[in-house]
Amino acid sequence: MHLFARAQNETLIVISNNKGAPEELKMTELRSIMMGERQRWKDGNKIKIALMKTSTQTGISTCKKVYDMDGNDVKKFWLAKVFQGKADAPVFFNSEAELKAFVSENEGAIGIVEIHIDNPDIRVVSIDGKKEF
Amino acid sequence: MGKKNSDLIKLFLSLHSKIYTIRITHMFIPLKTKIWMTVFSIVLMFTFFTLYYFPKQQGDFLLKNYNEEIQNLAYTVGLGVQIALKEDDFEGVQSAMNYVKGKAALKFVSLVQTDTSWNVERTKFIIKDTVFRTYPDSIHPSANIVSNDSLIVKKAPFRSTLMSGNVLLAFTRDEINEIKKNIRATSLLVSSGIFLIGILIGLWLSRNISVPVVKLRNAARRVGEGDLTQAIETYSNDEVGELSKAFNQMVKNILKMREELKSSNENLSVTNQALNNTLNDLRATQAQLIQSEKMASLGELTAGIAHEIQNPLNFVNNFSEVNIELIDEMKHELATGNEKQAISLADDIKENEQKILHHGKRADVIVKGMLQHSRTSTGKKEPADINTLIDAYMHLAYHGIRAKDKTSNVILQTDFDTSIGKIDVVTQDIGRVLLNLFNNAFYAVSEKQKDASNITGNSYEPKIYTSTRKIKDKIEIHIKDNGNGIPRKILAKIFQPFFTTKPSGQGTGLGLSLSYDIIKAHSGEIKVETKEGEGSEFIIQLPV
Repeated sequence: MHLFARAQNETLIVISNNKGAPEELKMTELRSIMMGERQRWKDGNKIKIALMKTSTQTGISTCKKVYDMDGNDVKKFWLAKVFQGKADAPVFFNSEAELKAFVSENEGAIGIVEIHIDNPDIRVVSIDGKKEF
Repeated sequence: MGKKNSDLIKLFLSLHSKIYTIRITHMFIPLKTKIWMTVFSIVLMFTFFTLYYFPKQQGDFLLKNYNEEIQNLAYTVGLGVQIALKEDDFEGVQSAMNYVKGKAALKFVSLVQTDTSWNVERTKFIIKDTVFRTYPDSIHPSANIVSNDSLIVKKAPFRSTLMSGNVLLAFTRDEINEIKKNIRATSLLVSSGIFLIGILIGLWLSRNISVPVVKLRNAARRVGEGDLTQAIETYSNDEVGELSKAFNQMVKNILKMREELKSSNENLSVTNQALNNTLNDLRATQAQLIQSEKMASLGELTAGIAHEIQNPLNFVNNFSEVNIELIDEMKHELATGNEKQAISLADDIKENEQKILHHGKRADVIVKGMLQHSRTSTGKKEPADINTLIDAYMHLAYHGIRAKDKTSNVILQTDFDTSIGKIDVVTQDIGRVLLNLFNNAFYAVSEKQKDASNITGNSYEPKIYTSTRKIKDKIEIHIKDNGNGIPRKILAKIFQPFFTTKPSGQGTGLGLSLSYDIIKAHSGEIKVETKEGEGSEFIIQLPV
């Protein structure tokens, strides 16, 4: 409960590989991407979702703010998607560093983190014109 | 199922073996039929294996592997689901699902969630399975679906704090059925091939074994019937071909042998004819010799017989002369009226007549005996007093020797067993044996006496000892002389025909030979015990 309460106040940053994702997205577009409904960027690159595990604070915040679900429901959601072959599952990480490394190394990758660090291969995607949400 | 098949095969093989054995042992089955039966049996067995057993085994094996493969896939998906739910790692389940989806036989794969809840009364838990998701989502299977004729359904459990349940993986049987169909088609093709090969082998065997053997049999039968013109054409270069060649060679050899035999037979026929002629001559000669021997012995007896007859004849003559004188005296007395004296003379005459009659009968007996001896034997046995017979022939022979040599004196000793009574013998034949043995005995002692007379002071007394005795179911006759005996070197020959030690013209050499035959014909034995210089003893055994 404490973790969940913290998550609600936490700000999140959407990062992406320099190739694939645009510099700015609307929240609805972000949700569509994160729900696996949109699977390719405009440049044709396949969208690769990178998320923090649902047991982490960032993961909990992401579930709440992006999916509007708790962590278990997100798991079930993606299990259903993957099981039925409707989308490729996100890659879940234990640490933001691993997540960032993944995003920097994979074209079309997009992820959600709490703290941004400068990386030439990564850029911050604005959501509804804001760097954080 | 496997055991059932195994039992079925054993039963099939057992029945097959029994039927085959019964037919082989109790029926005549032509070789051709046997070959076809064997080929068909083998073909049937192969057909059974290729058409039923092997496809069944292969099908079962494939089905088993297919089931295992599906089960393993279900486990893989289940494991992926479990990891995804526990670790937020969906890579495994995605890979597994991608792999499963790639299978053409996949009908569906469902994720079944198992929930446990209280019943309405909250008295017990209710376990409820619901299908969470299914791929493809167009199919809506029951959470409790199981395998059926068209589907193979396998379950793999997964368990996490978030969700527990089973992965249901359903594959169609179409693929496996198609494979089985292909196996059956292949088996049918192979069986047809085996059947065809079997027919060809049968035809080949029939052509190469049965046909030549039947030809051989027919030819052998014709050869057996005497037709030696048979020859078998040989084509095959094997045992049957060699058999045919051997048969042809055998027929040639038989033909050659038959020709040789025919020639030999012709020669033998000529020889046989010559031998038959010789045999007939020999038989005639033998008959003449036997008759000669008989007449010779009769001749030897003649003097003795004459002497025997002479005595009664002397009596007859003397008493006849006396009676003539007495009749004259009686006439005179009657003429003088002296009747009393006449009656006395008549009584004397009567008395003399009785004596004449007695001696006449005595002569009659001698003559009848002589006639009996010279007559051909009837071969019929009749009861005879053997002791009387021996005594008569002993004296007959003695008179015979005495007639030849008046100085001859032989001590005759007898010891007859009176308990013998009459036994069944051919009297004339046994008489001839006795006469021969006595003649020989008298000849032996007379020869020794002649030798002894040349030696001064020799006190040789010729002696013939004759005895009989009964031993159980036979009688023994012993005729023993104290002559010179028989030399050992000729002892083995004395019963051979035409063997004699007497000077030429005095013996035929058939006496002992005929005696031997006669005693054998009476189922008896004749043997001799002799000691050179001391005498001989002939022993005759006759069954009672």
